[in-house]
Amino acid sequence: MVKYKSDLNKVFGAMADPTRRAIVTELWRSERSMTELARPFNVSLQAVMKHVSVLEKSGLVIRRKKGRTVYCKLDPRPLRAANGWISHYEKFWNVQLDNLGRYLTKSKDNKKHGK
Amino acid sequence: MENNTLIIKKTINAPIEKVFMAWTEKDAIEAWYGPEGMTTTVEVLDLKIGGAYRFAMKAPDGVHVVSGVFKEINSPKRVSFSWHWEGSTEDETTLVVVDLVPNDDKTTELTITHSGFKKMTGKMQSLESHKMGWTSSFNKLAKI
Repeated sequence: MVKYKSDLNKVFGAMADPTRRAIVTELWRSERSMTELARPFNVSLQAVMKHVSVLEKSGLVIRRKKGRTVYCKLDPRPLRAANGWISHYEKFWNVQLDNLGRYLTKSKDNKKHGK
Repeated sequence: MENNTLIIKKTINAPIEKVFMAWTEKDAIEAWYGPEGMTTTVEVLDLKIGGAYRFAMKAPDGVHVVSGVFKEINSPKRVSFSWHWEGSTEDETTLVVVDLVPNDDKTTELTITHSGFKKMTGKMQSLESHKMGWTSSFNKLAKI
């Protein structure tokens, strides 16, 4: 459960960035080299490598080296776990509201004797 | 229900004024905001229409900063604010509406309406031309 939550946080962090979401969508179409990935986003190769490295840590992207070219492939499994962006927010808000409920119950308990 | 809108409802065991305060006061927000394992710092909170907010959520893998402006403040029934994650090259801004309805003097029905997921700006439009909204593509991904 703890592991699931930390994985979810990683996916959550990785997918919080629109460029990374765009990269994921690009990779959903097919495997791409780093250079191919950088092109449509009009960002430097270095910037794309940074994004890919975050995605790799979240388990969403797998890197493969062929000769001198680095190819990136999508691994949708963490997304399936997070079940997409909206569902991800659904989890985020549900966790938030659980926290809120706990917080308000706690502050009520603290004041129980005051009233 | 609209495809790109997320609606979440929950009954909170607290009176409506308390719930509203939890969404609008610095100390309260810092006490409950952010997923488990993250600590939240309220860096900016200017509670008025058009006023900005900025919350930094510290996680083991870095700091996630969410910010936006207040769109509607109707104490204690509704607070609405734009939402975007900072530190990204192109920001996608969504809208969060928090509606509160009292059940009785002890419990409150809370509804979060989070919308605008499809909105894309600048370079993101090149992707829109692929006719793949985030939702649909991720729904597809989820089914792989």
